[in-house]
Amino acid sequence: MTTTSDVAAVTGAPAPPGRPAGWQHDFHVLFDRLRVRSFSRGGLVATVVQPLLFFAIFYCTFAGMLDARGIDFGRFVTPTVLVQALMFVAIGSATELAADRSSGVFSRILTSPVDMRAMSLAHLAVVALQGLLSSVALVLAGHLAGFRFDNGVLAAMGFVVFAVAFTVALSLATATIALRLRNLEALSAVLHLPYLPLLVLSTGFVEADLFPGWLQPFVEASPVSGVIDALRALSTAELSWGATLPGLAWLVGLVAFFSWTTTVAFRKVAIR
Amino acid sequence: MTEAISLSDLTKRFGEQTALDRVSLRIPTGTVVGLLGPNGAGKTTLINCLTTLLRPDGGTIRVLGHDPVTDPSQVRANIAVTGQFAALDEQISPRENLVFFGRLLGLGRGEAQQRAGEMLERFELGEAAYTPVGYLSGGMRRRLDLAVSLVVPRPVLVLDEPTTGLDPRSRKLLWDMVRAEARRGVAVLLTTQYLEEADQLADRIVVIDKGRVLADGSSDELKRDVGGIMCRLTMTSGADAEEVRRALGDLPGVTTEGDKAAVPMSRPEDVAAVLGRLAGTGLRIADIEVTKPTLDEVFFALTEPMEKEATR
Repeated sequence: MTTTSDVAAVTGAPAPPGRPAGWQHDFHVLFDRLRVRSFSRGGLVATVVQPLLFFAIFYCTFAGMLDARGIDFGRFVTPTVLVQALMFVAIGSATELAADRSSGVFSRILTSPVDMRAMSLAHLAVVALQGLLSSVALVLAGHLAGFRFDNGVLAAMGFVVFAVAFTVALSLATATIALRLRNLEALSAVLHLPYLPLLVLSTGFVEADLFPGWLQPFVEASPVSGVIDALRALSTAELSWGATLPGLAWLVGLVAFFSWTTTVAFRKVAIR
Repeated sequence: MTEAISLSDLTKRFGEQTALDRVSLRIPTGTVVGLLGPNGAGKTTLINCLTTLLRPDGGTIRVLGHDPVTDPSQVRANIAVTGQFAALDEQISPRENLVFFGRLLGLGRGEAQQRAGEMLERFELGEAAYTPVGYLSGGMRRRLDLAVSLVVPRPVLVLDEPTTGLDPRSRKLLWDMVRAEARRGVAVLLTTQYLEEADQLADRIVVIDKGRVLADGSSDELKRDVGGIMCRLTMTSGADAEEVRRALGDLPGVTTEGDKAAVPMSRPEDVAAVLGRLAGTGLRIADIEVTKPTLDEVFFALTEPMEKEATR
């Protein structure tokens, strides 16, 4: 190549883009894509339709039985169905993350001048939005079955914030797994396996002292029990610190621990 | 400074395996360099190191003077990458993909919409603009993938086997596009397994195998290096493939296939030696042709000695 054509080539070359636009800009763009996805038909089936369906099924199955024992289904089971829905939100968000990795979109974003923090924040913000959506849908459905907020607006807001925070905590856990496992089938198995034992071996459907003796310590100490008890406390008249504290402690612990594991897993994937 | 990409002594190991062994490579602006090699040669590893996805174990990389290890965001701002598989959000439409990546690269909302429209037209994707990518044909995806890479023009374009699985029409579209980008001054690094593609597009071809650079030059230079001319022989029908191999197989760089053989040589007079070898056998020549080698033959001549070495 001659010198003159070199000069021509240089002047004709596209100018490198200016400074990166900053993490807020990246966050907005990344958030928009995921938000559009979560409001798509498939997204809404997972966050709204499925929880409502589960709620209806549980109502038909358990309402009569609980009523006979003097337990109000709406008040007792609504937090349980909500926790279940939030577990699905967390599993779904990890599946989406894995889909982005296997489709190559993840790598394409990583080879673009994008702020890495914005990537994680956008993921978590959409998870929070989905958790909020599920919470609102189930609170409304629960209302029909007798669910009420007895402690005023502040406690009701506390209830929703608690639910959303739990979604974020769970999705940090599932994101760690999604970043570690390449195989989609293995990922699906690992994500769905713990969900049922965690939900059933909790105070969600049956009180702890009705479990076999050797299981009771597990049920009482379970994070799911803690969170469900806290949600019940926030919605019923018997609101006390004692009832919300174990759930709150689990929440803080889970967020702290899985923020760390997710950060480590993300770094491993992003910078090899 | 017209060097867009320069690699020197780039080394990458995965455990015991050396994927890249002191690879050096230079790509000036406005040039297309074809990276040619069989599966597992190290092409994708090289691209991943260059595009900040992998951290090299040794050597240096500069993309317009920036180091992917210490200054990844500057490198990312300057390179457009199309990987081996279409990297698209399958749940949204081509238009939405283009707008998303356009905005991610700094375009405003309106600007990104406008660019998306232009790219859809240029890559003949107009009719599928609103169909979710998951429903598109392989060729359309591949074209969209490329359109997404070019939605914001950048000075360096990296293409990893861009035409694998493309129909001839899409391949032509892609080749024209690569040529147009190079004319504008974009430095293009293209990996391929198709020798014809390298021959057609690349100003320079770098042949790598097992992580090492085997040759670096223009298509003509490579052909000259391997053996200025190629003697192609076809035996009369009924010739035994094993017999052909026995007679000619140990000549340097020779390839035999059934009743055919191709022998690289530096002087036309060497034909005599080949004929001499056949004289003592039952083989009869049906056709003999003395020409320049094809790039395929260059490739085999370059990569085969190593394979023999490895199997021994």
